[in-house]
Amino acid sequence: MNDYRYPRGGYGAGELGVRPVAALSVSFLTQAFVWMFLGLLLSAYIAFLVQNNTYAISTPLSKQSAAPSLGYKGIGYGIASEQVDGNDAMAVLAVLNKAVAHARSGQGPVLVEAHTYRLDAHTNADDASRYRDSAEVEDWLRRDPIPRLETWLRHKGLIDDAFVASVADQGEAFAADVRKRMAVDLAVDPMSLFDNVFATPTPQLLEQRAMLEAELEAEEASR
Amino acid sequence: MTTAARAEDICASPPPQLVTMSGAINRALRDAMTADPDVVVFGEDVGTLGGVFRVTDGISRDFGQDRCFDTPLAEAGIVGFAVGMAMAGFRPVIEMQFDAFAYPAFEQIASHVAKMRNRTAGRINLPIVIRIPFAGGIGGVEHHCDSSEAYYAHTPGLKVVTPATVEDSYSLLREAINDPDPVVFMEPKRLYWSKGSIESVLAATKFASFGRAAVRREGTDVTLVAYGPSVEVALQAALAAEESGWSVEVVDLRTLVPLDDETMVASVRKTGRCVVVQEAQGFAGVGAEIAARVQERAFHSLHAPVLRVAGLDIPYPPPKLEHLHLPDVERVLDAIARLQWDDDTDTRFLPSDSKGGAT
Repeated sequence: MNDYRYPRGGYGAGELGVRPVAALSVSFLTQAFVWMFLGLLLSAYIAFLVQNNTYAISTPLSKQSAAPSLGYKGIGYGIASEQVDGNDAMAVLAVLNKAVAHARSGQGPVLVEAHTYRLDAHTNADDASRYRDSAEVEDWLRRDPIPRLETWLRHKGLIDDAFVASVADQGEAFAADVRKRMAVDLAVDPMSLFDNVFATPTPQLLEQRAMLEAELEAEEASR
Repeated sequence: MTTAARAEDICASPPPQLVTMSGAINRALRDAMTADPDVVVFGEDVGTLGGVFRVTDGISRDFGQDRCFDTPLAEAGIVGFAVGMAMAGFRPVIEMQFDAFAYPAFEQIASHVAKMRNRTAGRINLPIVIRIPFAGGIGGVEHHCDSSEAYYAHTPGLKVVTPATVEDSYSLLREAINDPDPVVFMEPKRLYWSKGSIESVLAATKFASFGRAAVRREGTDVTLVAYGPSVEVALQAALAAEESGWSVEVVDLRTLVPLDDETMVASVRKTGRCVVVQEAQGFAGVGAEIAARVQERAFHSLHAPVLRVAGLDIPYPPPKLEHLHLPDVERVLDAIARLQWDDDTDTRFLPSDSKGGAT
């Protein structure tokens, strides 16, 4: 079994750069401020990246805070805070490099708010047309970060048509594989319901386990 | 054993040293921190001040700020921080300063602390102890006297421990810190100043096991089931009941999760009558669960319905009125008296027009 724990004593300085910074969504942010509070107190080596995608399902930031941006919120906690165009990959990289260097230097946590947009509905059960108009979506579509990054890399002469085509192929193959694997109907053990409530099941859970087992056996026998 | 030998024993051994419950918990924290460098203690005012009840007195000074430290007044942050530390391999023992102060952290406790093992299919367990001074009886105000055990006991994935004696407060806390799963450790604050000896548990090689109730007093006529602050009330009631000729057994549950069905049901099978005593408001409480379980398991041994003596279903009252809210000896005796000793029907819940045995 893999070890899913964080390494003891945290990540070493050399590892920090390759580990994800804490990524927070807008809707999570109001609640997240208690962690920032503690993070500051303990001078934790944390860079918070707020991916402000403009909406919490249907609720825009303007209904969630009187602050003009979430970046302002860190300032109230004495946390170095920065805003960046979240759809500009190179700008995000530049700002995050600076933020991680700040956190790594032991000067305390840093907060980066990346402004971006949720182009699709929140889920396939959501109807985004009920709370935003298509002009707004069109405007953000023009700022799609993927074509922007491609344009920038082409302009710099770092990629060519063949490279772009191969990335597209790889992406398509990956997506196809994910779809294929998601369609597999895995067998699940009903008894696993009781496996991970506690390390050692309580007598009450063992009783319920026996009850379910008997029900399933009876069901099996009546087939 | 001869009288002489016994006298000699008594003379030879010094009288046991008595400690308060808060002192015993302090000792348990220190011993656990000494035994395991991963054990850390944090919460509001637990460092420099030593906690509002002085439970962590001197620990920060003796073990250093890295092992015992003050946090901001943000309970959700305290618990969330403990989750992260536990994931990194620590064993956090955190304090919610008062029962009702833990509510801002309830989302962290119910949705993350309780579910992490299950969510990760057993890959990540959280050995966290959440210490909560709970219940009233100290003239405290609303927000400081809640009996909040039912919220936790109702949440799968949490163990809930309610010590009633000084000895148990030490032993069960050590066991809680050793437990691989999260434990809500509920300290009856009115017993913080009660005294007892912990010498035998200090000498023991094993701590008290979870899910093992203790028969605190043996009796043959009625079983009183209690936990935490109510055990003392039950014992006093048992003593008073003797005068009325009732022989009362007192079962101290010690842990609500896991619950020791076996001991309480064996007791009720023997006595045939059962009263549950709890300080918490009675509606949808732990006492209701116990009453249900006893009648499910011992119905044919019961001579009377299982009764509950509980706090009133009101927000915690002001100090001048709390004695009317808290279950006391009189209320327990009244309940015992209603256990159909003469096979008389209990007419309390009959519609008023059918009372008085009308045919």
